[in-house]
Amino acid sequence: MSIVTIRNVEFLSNPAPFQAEYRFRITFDCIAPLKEDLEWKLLFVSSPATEEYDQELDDCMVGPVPVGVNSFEFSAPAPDRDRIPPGDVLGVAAVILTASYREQEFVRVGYYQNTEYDNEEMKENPPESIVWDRLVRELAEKPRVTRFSIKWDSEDSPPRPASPSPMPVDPAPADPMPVDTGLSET
Amino acid sequence: MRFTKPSWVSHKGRTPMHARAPIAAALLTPSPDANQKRVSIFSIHVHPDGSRLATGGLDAKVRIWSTLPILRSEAEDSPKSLCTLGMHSGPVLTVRWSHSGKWLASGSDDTIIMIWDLDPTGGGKVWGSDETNIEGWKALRRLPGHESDVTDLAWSPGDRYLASVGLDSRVIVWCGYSLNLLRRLDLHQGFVKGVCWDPVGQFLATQSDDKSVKIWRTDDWGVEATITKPFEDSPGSTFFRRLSWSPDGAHITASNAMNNNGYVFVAAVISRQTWASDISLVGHENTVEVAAYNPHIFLRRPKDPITTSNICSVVALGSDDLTVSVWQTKSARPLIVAKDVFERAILDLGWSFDGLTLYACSSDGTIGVFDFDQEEMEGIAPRSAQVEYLKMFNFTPAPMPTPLLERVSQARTPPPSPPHFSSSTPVSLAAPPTYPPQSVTVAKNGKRRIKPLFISHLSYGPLPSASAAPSAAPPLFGSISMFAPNEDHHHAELDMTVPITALNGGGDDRKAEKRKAEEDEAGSSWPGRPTKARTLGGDRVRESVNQVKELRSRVSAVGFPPAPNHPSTAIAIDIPSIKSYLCSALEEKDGDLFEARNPEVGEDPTEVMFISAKQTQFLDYLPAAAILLTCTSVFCAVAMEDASIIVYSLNGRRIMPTLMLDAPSAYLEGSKHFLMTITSSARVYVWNIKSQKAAFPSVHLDPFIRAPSSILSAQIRPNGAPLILLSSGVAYSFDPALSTWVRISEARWSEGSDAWEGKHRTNKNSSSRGVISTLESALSDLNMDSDSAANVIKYRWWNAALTLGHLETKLHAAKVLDSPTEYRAALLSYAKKIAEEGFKGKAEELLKDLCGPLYWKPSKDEQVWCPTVLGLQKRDLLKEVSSIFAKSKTLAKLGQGWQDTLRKAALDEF
Repeated sequence: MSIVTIRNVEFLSNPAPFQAEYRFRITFDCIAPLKEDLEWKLLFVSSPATEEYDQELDDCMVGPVPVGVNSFEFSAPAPDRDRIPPGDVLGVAAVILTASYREQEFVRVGYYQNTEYDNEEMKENPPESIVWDRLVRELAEKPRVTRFSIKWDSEDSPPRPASPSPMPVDPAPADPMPVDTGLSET
Repeated sequence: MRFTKPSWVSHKGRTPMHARAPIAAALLTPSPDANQKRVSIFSIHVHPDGSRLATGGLDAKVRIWSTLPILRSEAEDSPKSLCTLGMHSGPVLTVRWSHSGKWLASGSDDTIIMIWDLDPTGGGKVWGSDETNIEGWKALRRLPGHESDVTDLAWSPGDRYLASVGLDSRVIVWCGYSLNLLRRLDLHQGFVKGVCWDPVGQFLATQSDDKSVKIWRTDDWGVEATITKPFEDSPGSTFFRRLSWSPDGAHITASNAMNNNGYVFVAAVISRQTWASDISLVGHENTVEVAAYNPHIFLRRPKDPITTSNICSVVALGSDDLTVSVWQTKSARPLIVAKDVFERAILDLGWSFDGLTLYACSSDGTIGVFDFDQEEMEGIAPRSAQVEYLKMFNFTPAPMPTPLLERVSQARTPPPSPPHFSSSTPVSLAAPPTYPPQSVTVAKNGKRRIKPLFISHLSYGPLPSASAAPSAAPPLFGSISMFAPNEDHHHAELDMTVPITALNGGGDDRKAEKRKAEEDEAGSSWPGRPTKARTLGGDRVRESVNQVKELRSRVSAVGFPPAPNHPSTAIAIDIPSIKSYLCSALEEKDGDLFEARNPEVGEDPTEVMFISAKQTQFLDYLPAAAILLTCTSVFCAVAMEDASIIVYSLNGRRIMPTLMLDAPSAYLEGSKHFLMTITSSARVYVWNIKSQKAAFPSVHLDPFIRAPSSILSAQIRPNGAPLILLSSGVAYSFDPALSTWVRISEARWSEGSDAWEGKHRTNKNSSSRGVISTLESALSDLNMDSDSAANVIKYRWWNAALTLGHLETKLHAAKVLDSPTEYRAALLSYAKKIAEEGFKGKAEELLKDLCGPLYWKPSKDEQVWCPTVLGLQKRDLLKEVSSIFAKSKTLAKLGQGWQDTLRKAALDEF
């Protein structure tokens, strides 16, 4: 059961030129104290069929995280265009935002990205070699969310100033299986 | 009776994960098809106001439904699913609303208990899904503590505690206010699968696969009884063993019991006090999983008065034989038996607060609703009858320990953060708020580290306060409140009346108004509604309390600045912050409430109102903002910012002139006809409202409360004695006879006294917890450093001196605070200790003191010697004390001698 839940992901640059940086404002709930930082990553998937061309655009640590509603702005550079197979540049790709705690990923949010030229003429007759400056990308608003059950702090971490009896350590078994998404509907 | 099975109440199967484990998994997850399989519903519970239903299922979700389309066929098209809560990672085995209706607790296979709170602004489309939540229930707290599945939960009367049980064989008691773990009860030897509270508040009952029901005392959490006989042959294969306590407190009905060496499946009815089970409910053809009492008491002969012999109750059973039965205890046969309505075992049952609707859920993934007519529930008594009847037990539950509350509120103090958006600000605003530049540093691993911006806390309404909540039971006939949300079903700080927005026709105000008018009509024709006598403000519709705002922050005592408006007086005690709404509930009478509303802006005057029987009994406009309120069965009092106090009778007459103090009040407490206030300048005033006199001239508390010592709690006893607990670990009272402050108790005694109750918690007097005993446990809680006792250098006579000193202090304290039971208990412990140590001199003095002049005759010499103490006959106490001595090794002769003397004296008197 997750201590951190995303409330909202807001796009701060969408649509945008293909080579512009990605900017998101992420708002999340934290319902119990955390000892460590959260790690957030942004990945670019140009070819859904294979991992080979996946790119990690950026990652950052977020902390300290107080109990409550928190928000931060996450930005990441555009993908390295030389690493995208030329045939996969135009059309649909994906951008994936992941969050981890203690190196365990607990949520993965995917967005479709559509890439095309910024004018009708080039859209209809794409030039042979890619003109990067004229490309625009647009992320689909609808997120696809997958949540994973992970081991948070050993369950003794919340301070219990009022509890007269000491709390023994109560580690929750780490569940490697992803749990119900239920939310990744189309 | 009407039976319905709303097919739309369902939990659907988990989405299968076809994980292309690598990176694009999130995108490749196939869309789940709409015809997912129905999965088991493990638990069902209806909100105290009858409007919402919570269910927990195998799909790891908690779902909240509107009951309107179930109960009213004409409302079929109104919204059904109000909220889906998907934060558990395992099946949800139990869902329970608090009695106040403010919180929902859920327990899961994932070992976690979640507390959910309603965020009034939190509804709407759920980020990352296609679901739209009409109501924004949000996770408030996550309670880890169990090591395995949490199978059952129960809120105690008044929500003082939350109890949870699980497959780790554990029973855990949580504080119902702070939600901190209070006690772990580890005596069951097998999975624990059911829990319920005594409606009186004295006991907790749990049922386990170790084939026992255990009864735990709530005053020291010791085991009162272990009942095994009915369960000797009970199978261990059931999902649950949910049990229930009858509303009159007299019986527990336990599930999964067996008669005839395991050939007959029954529910066992266990009697209070004897804890014997002579009655069984026989008829089910397989194991009974769950028992649930109707929350109302029933009268065998409805016209006769409410006496023990005239009371019966109604209990529902759900079984693995797919059948639900409902029994009235005055009859040997069930009232109804519902067969063939479920295809698999019945796993949970829940009654609505009005006692007319029974909800059942089954492992076949469906729920069933039994809606009874008032006539079918023959003899059903109003909730007030139960409250009245339970007073017979004369049990006072342990009050909320004040230090705990203090710490909790401190722990929740927000960390400073520049732009503070209140939780009412929706996060996803159309026009995004401007954010300050975020602070970016470099993390240990070399990555950049962003400090998140703190936006708001997770609590969406006011926390239930210790003083208000115990009487904050749900409203009578709560089910109508959903049809008339602005009627008068309100109580202490609880906003149960958050209307289900969608019921108002999606914002079509005219439509909503029309509906409201119809509902008012329906409401006023409700049977049994008393005709209203005219009162000042009685016809006004009480506005709901949406959010309590802090108008002016508390005035702190730090540095002793002069008080506002009173420059000459230094502030020694913090003046509480001025809130837009405050209230005080009358403990003796359910739903009676004294409340004040301070204007947020402008010139509006402050209003005070007393509400009884859901009607405004009186209202008044005040010249200054209200800081504190209190009310008792005799009077209501309000302390104002301008350092004055107004005292009203319950009918709104000012029964005292406006009292002017030297500084604004920091505490205001009432008990019976005594009123106490402590001003910010640390002056203590106590008045007897009945005799219209001060109990003693106002006195200063100053010497005791210089920093760092502060007041943790202040209360007044029914005899007018103040009781003030300081953070230095000392409790004081004022003795008017001695014209001085006296020490009632102090944490120091815990460092050596055997009789210290806070530490040992082996209070032999289990029936009720006295004021001193409660105080001692508060002091123990305060003294967090548990090693301190061990670190004390033991001097030779340390233990004996401290024990005797402690007990002698306790005897004086019991006298000052008027607690005869504790006086007697302390006296007997004292006698035992003296006997143990063999202090003959002390023993003789004590005996003489209790005996008085040997040939004393009543009516003579009363000036010299008083034959009673706190209403107890000293000679009766003498008998007990001398018999303790007589049985001891060292003082046997002395004790026997006095026993003889007493016998002779008794003969002489005849």
